[in-house]
Amino acid sequence: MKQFYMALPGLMAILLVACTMQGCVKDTCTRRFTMMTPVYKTTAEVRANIKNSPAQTVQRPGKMFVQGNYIFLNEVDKGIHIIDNSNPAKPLNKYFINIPGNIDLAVKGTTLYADLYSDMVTIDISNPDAIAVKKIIDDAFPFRRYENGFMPDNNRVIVDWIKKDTTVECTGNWTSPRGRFFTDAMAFSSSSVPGVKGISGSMARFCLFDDYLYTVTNSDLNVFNILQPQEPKLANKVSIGWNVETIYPFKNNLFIGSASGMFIYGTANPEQPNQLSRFSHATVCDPVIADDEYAYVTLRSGTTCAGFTNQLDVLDITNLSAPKLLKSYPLTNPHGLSKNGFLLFICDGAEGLKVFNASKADDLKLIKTISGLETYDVITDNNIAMVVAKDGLYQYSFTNEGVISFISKISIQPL
Amino acid sequence: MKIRLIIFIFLSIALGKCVAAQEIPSHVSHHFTSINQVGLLTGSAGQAANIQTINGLTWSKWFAGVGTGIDYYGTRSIPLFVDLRRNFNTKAKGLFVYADGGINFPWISDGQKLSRPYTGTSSKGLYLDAGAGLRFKLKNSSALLLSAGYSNKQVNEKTDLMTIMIWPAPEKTYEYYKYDYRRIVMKLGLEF
Repeated sequence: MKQFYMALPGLMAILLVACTMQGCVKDTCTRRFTMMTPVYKTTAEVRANIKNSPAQTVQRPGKMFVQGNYIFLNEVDKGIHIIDNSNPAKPLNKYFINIPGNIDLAVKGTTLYADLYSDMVTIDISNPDAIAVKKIIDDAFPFRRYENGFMPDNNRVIVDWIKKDTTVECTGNWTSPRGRFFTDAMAFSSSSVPGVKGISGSMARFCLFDDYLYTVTNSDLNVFNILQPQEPKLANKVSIGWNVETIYPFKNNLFIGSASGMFIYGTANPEQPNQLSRFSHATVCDPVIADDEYAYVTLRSGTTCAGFTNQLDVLDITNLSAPKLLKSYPLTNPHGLSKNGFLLFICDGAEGLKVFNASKADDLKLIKTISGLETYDVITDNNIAMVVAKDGLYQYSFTNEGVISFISKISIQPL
Repeated sequence: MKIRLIIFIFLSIALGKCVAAQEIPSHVSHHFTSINQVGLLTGSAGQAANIQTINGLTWSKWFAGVGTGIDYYGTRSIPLFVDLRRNFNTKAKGLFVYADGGINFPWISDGQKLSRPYTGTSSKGLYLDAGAGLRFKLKNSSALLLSAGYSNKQVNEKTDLMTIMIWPAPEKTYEYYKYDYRRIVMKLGLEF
């Protein structure tokens, strides 16, 4: 036994060396992810396929635009659902327009404007049964990228993705766990204006104003002349700054939300919008709407937004050259908002839809919280609030006194 | 959770010492034993230290207990495991073998957090350790332990991929990492 003890250190040394040689002390790291493989079609094929198809189930709703009895609801990166809302209690999903890469839209009269990745498509919708592409402006939104790191291609368009779970060995120095940067879609997006019948949400990146379509990219304000609606012409491009997110027209002004603040641009010369003022805030996402006296800006943080602020800022804009913060109201994770009379509707993420009495901007009173739905954007029109939520498109009727009732829901079929 | 475990480790050591300091009557077939050890871990990530406390019961030449500690190899972590060991000679100097199995709870250090460009969620993995050693009996029923073995710990991480500030946000995607650390471990310990 004594000999065994004497030999033990040697045995262990041999074990250690043998183990090292065999690689049994080699640390390993495996990375499992969903590999996204793009499905391409030629640009010609895709453009030829932009027509009204039979209705499809809503799976991943984006922005919406309301005109008359119709709701135009974006299906992210796929196209646009056309919903007949003549009877809000029974909205009818009628058509689907295939527009790969679509996120933003606006409708003027019988003309629909939509983005197709980096291109802008103009569609005549005067006959809903036979829509027709009238014009495509190539590379109108040059900053637009495809999702998952794939870049635009002049000859091909990504129309779908094949997902495959994949496990690979980690690369690089992975001794301690760490995340990875991954750029996803850099999108563009839509809004409303007096004088134009259509209404878009506060999350919009397209807005209509008289004979002009204004769109914001990550850094620029594009001005399209739509005097001839089906022959839009890029009239001007104004550099704004970085991380521009939304645009909202009110009267003669454009309210632009960016990650670092709100800009007000005047349209005295509609082709040469000029900056009137800027209100800076913490770096967060910030849809904005306005009325005669106040701008309402929701600031939110989260996975896709930087910062740690979740609140509503009410700004006094009686002097458009010098907006002043009137009051901030804490919220949970506010997204889109809409104002109708003295009622202010705010989509507060997972908290639901919050309705405030905003008759006194410095003393908002919460009238009701509609919980149980994760809300993103809201449009109010004709005493109906249309709400895009995680699980469907909801509609509520409301009275001017703030009595709110559920009307209908178009459910979303999960992917 | 982590703080509680650290407190538990030190309380276990203190409690073990108190209990073990009591004389063990000869007619008692089993008794409480506390094993406290420090170790050196060697693998492809280099060298790192660990500390452990294992507390349990000894029956004749067998010991079974529950152990925890801090393991600084790769990703700092706190293993929680069951320890089973067999002494071949309890009288004086003797050989023993041990086997540990349990759960490894990651406890990412501030330095490791800083090196991570984006937030991920770490979660528990397996913890295994097995080896052999020498037990040198000291006075008062205590013993000095020297051992060498092979240890494997795992850390899992779920990372959501960064997206740009837009709405609608792109479809949420995640990456899942599984870190498997395999090391040779040499430990020096005291048994009470």
